[in-house]
Order: sequence, then structure tokens, then C-alpha cells
Amino acid sequence: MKYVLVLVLNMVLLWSQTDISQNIITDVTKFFNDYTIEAGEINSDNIRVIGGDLYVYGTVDGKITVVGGDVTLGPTSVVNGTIVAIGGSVQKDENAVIHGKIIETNMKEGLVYREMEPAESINGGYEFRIKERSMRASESWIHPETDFFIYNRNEGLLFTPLNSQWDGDGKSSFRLSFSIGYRFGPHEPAGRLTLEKSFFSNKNLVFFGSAFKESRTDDFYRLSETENTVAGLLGRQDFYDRWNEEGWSAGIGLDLYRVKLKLLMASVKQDSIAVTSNLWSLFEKERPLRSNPYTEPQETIGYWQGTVAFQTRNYSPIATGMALFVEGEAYQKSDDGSNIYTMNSEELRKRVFGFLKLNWEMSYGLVFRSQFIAGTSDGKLHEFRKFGVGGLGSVSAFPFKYQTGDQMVQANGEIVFTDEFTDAWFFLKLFVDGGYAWNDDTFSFTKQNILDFGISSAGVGIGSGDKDDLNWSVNIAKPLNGRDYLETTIRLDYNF
Amino acid sequence: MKNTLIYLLITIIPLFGKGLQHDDDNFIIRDHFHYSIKGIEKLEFKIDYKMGELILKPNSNNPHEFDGFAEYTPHYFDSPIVDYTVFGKTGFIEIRTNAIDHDHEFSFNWGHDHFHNKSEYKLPLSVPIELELEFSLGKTEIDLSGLQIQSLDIECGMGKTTLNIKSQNSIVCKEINIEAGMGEFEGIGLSHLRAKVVNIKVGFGSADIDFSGIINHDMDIEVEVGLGSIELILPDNVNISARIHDHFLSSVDVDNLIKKGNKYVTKDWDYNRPTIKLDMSVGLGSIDLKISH
Repeated sequence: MKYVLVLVLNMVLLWSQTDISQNIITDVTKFFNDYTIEAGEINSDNIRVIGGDLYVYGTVDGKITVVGGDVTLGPTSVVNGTIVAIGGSVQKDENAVIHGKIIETNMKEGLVYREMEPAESINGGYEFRIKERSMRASESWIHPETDFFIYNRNEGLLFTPLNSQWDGDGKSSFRLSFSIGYRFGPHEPAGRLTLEKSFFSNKNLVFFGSAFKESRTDDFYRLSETENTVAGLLGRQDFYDRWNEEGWSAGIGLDLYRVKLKLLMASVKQDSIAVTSNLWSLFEKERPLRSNPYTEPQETIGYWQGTVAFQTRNYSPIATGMALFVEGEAYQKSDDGSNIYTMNSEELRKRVFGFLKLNWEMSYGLVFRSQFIAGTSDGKLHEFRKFGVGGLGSVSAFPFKYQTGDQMVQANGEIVFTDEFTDAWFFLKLFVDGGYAWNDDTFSFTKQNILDFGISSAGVGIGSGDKDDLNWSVNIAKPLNGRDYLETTIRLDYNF
Repeated sequence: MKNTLIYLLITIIPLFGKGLQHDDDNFIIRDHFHYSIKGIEKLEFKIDYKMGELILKPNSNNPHEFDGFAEYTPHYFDSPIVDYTVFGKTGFIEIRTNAIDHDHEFSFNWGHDHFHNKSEYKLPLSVPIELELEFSLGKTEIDLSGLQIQSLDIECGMGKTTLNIKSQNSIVCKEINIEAGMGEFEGIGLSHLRAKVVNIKVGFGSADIDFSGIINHDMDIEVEVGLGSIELILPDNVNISARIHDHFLSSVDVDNLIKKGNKYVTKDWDYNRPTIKLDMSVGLGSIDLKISH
């Protein structure tokens, strides 16, 4: 009851207010009569309608209070002032325009009164959204930012000064990203343009489409692009085989916190990028550069590609954790009109590659690290898509891609005695690598195959760094096939 | 490949449509609710909030009354259902948001430009309350300080939920159930509820739950974590016995407890102090168990 009394008092106060700033406003009271404001009429008066209904087809600039009657706002009505309906209802045509305020009160418990007003008048943000988005949502994993400088034997210096993403400062579910750079080796531009449409507050589901001209490699797992660039600048070395792809891709991505899934289809023109013979380097200026594997020129192919990646929480190279990556691809020449290729055609080639990393902090400062890699195909891979073992990031003390094939297995293991263990500025590591690549159309192999044809090596390393940002290390490795050969390698990252 | 592309475009392009603009988007309705809560011995309060912003707090100025408002864009929401009924000596308040289903529009767009839905409800302090709260998508702030909480059941879907209790519950809370689906849940001052049984489930989301403070009774806490993460803070004035079921894919951090057999227990066990028994299981997610000082 107290509440109703307060409400009535408020109404009386509202009622008694008269705008004295304009002398032309008058107070009118209508008893038991309906009141109509016609279309085209502008009403600036303060009107009280008691026991009757109010019909509005014109413009209300003043204040109208209706007690015990209904209010009807017609399609031509404009409310700039205030309408208060006490004990009645308000019917509003969908074309009625409200710039002012409508208050509808019922003298009972439950819904006691209703206000209607322009959306702009609400204090605070009109739109609802979660303001604190996760980092995952603010950075694109579909179109990651390209390194500013990339240096290798194919592209020479790839300089990418333009790396931009726009998504309305996180407010839009769309994101437009582009990276545009220039290859100083072959003297041509390269880059990627991506449009993403995401769903859910943390952008967990993404549809995307990209147009691009970029180099592509299957050797990304061996070392980072940054370390490869440093190897090129300092030692005229390149541990990636690359080729050029120009075309488009479209697909869907699903980001479930630690699990990421991506499925895309693409149509690209593949071609080799000639090796730049005059690659400058600070040391080893005369080191011969490895030639490209054979790439069929100007081949337009279409492919489907599916990727799954998983990491345990706060994955770090020298803490207990696991990372898994699997990528499958089915590709074939695009239909040129004369040859119709289908997903069942002889031309279709399938390639699956994956790795599993398992790290275990055995005791204080002592970490056992392991990596298992497998690659398989239907035995029809082109030369430049074949799997390779040997060399940096694979089996140490063997030449780069010492063995290649349609199938591969590789295992790496190392024990890292961290600087916490040595209680000094350096860490030590003991490592062993093994791998085997062979040509076949199935993945089956025996232990005897590995013993007879596989390659392996072991080594030691010393370096200095911190947990997640290794500064440097020096490895000395020896092949385990009896050869009397020692290989020294400087790494700016973990072995794998 | 060309045919596949065309098919893909036909499938995807409608998803990018922004939907029709409506005149109803240009104004909002604010409904004010009021009930006098008298003559009952218990209140069962149930809310099913689909999306938007929600605040629940004590009605400190009017302890016998329930007040609140709902502010919404009428194109997307009908007036919420706010019902109060009494059976015998028990009162029931049930609140439901009424989202309007627009079949012709792709509703995922709701998260950004078009709708407004904000509610604030003040709960009476004068009666014991059983709370059953269900939120789907949005931001929820709950303050239960000063209320008499008999039981608490919270189920959060996506979005962020914050629960804060600043003062001691004058009655014992029989049970707390918290389920964080894909969103974030943060609970502070839960020791004030004086609960004996606590069940926490975390699916894909995260939960930060703070029980620090004074606890004078034994308590059973059961935690299940799927792919998400939980940080659980317990007070240091109790004995703690924690059994954790994990495997090599999960991450478990336990501070200031010692491992004894298959349990983590308090270093200096004191039989004069109450005991918290924890049973925690984790799938691919993580558990972070801390003891406050």
C-alpha cells in the first residue's frame, strides 16, 4: 500500500508540474470525454483526461495524463513530450514515433508501471556485449600476422610492412585482415587478404575466405620462420623447401580453448620460386644453396585441408605438457574443361602429417622431451610434397632430407638439465634422433625396416636461456651408423 | 571445384546477412515490478534469464519487498514474466525472459548491435530463500549479502557471472550447486553462506571460487572439470583432505598441501578444526587449488 501511495504522490507531482518557460502552454482538464489529437495537429498543452480515452494521430509536445482510460497512438503520431496513462493501457501502432516518454501505470502488485522511451536515452551502453574478451578472440588465428622480415633462398628478402586487422576494435563479428609485402628475390609482391565472420563472444566459430599469393612449405615443423631467417642472414642456409601458391581458400574454424579445428577448401596455381643465386649472408658467403625439388610449373590444383591442433594448458617446451597437430589434405588438378576430375579420380592425392610432443618434468629442473612424427599418403605424392627425414629439426648429423618418401616416421627425445638443475647460467641436453622415410602406398613397416634403413643420431648440447625464450644453444651430434662424423649446430630455439 | 565454391557461397552468404532493421529497435520499454513478501516462511526464487545483463541484489531499504525492473528492446523481447504466487507458507517468484524468435533472421547477430536487455531485481531480506538461477548468455552480477540463503543453485551457460557475498548468512545453507558451462564464473565470499555441501561443475568455461574466510563447520566439496579450468581458494583455518582424479592430459596445481597416499592433506592437521573434504576430477582441463592466508 505504501508503494502505491508513493506512486500516486509521484503522479500528482508530475501532474502539477507546468512548464513556465513558455507562456503559450496552457492547462486543460477533460472529464469523461475522449480526447483526440488529429493528424497534422501539434499539441503543446498540458492536458488531463479523466475517465476518457486519448487518441493521438498528430504530435504531442506537452504532457498528457490519462486517468482511467486507454491511450491509442496512431501510425502518424509523434510523441516528443510525455504521456502518462494511469489505470489504462497504451496501444501503439508500429509506425508511431516516440522521442519523448510514455509511462503506463497499474495500481496493483506485479507490473506496477511501464516506461517507453527512445533507446538513446538509456544510460550506459545501448548494445550488450562482453567487454573483456579473451586474447584468443582479439587475435586472428586464421590469418596470423606475417613476420616483418623473412629471408630465404627462394624469396630473398620478403618485406611485409603492411600487416593490419580491422574488427571495429573487437565490437564487430567481422574481421578484415591483410598482409602485403614484396619479395626482393624474384621482384614481385606477395600477401594475403582475409575476411572472417565469427560467432559467439570469444569468436569460437569462424567462417573465412582468403585470397593470397604466398609461399608454402611442408617443413614448418623443423624450425621457426624467424630462426630460418637468421640462418639465412648469418650462414646462407635455408631449411624450408617452398613453392608459390596463388589463389583463394574458404573454410570454417572452430576454436574450443585448447583445441582448434580448421577445414578449408582452396583453388591455387602452384609454381616453383627460383632459387636466388646471389643470396647475401654475413658469413659463409660461398656456401652453395640447395636447389628446389621438382615442382610442376603453373599447375592449378584444388584441395581440401583439415587441421586439428591441441595443447595442454600453458604448454611450454620445458614443463610437463602435451601438444598434438594433425593435418590431412586431399588435392588434385583443377578441372580445366577437357579433363573432369572428381574426388574419386586417379589424380586425387592424399597426404596426412602429424606430430605429438610430450614433455615431462621428471624432477626439479630435469625435463624429458619427446616428439613423434608420422606422415602417410596413398603413394602418389609429387616430388616436392614427399616427406623427408634428416637435417635440422629432424635427424641431426644427416644431410637435409637425406631420405624422402611417401611415408615417414620420426622420433626425437632429449633430456634437458635446465639452468635450475645446473644452478648456473647454462643448461645441458642429451638428445637422440631417429627417422625413416620410404616409398610405398601404405604406412605399414616393421622394426626390421627401421633397423635396416632408418637413420639415427645422438648428441649433446649446451646453451643459455629462460623457460620460454631460449636465447641460444650449441649442439654436437654424431650419426649412429658408424660414420666418424661430428656436426656442430647453433640453434636459437629448442631442438623441437 | 567451381561448383563446390558456388554451393559454398550460396550456403554461407545468408549467414552474413544483417537482418531487417525495425522501427521497434529505436525505443526501449522499462517495466517496473513490485511485490510485498509477507506472511510466508520461505521463498523459492527461480529465474531463467536467456540473454542480456542481469543484476540481483538485496532489497536493503525494503526488507519485506521484492522490487525490480526490466529494460528491453520490444522487437527482440516481450515483457518478462515476473510471477509471485503463494501456496501455504511458501512463496514462489518465477522470472523468465521472453525472447522473440525471429525465424527469418540469424540470431547469432544478437550479440552485437541490435538488442538491449537489462534487468535488476532486489530480493527480500525477511524470509529464507531457495535460489535457482539459470543464465544462458550475458553478464550477471549477484550480490547475496544480507539475504537468508537456504540453498543456491546456479547454472551459467555462456557469458560472465559474478557472485559476491559480503556478510554472514544468518541461516545454514543446505547446498550450493554451481555449473559453469562455457562461460566464466567468479564467486567471492562463499564461506559466508555456511554451506555444508557444495557441488561445482565446469564444462568448457572457467570458474574462480573463493571460500576464504572463517568456516566453522565440516564441508563436502565435489568438483568436476571437463575441458575448462577452476581456481579454488580455501581458508587456512580448516583441515583439508583432497582427492584428485586426474591423468596426464590434465593440469593440477595444489599449493600448501602435502600428498599422503592418494590424497592431498593439510600439513598440520588439527582435530579441533572443521574439515573440508574435497573430491575433484578433471578431464582435459585444469585445477588450481590454493589456500588463503
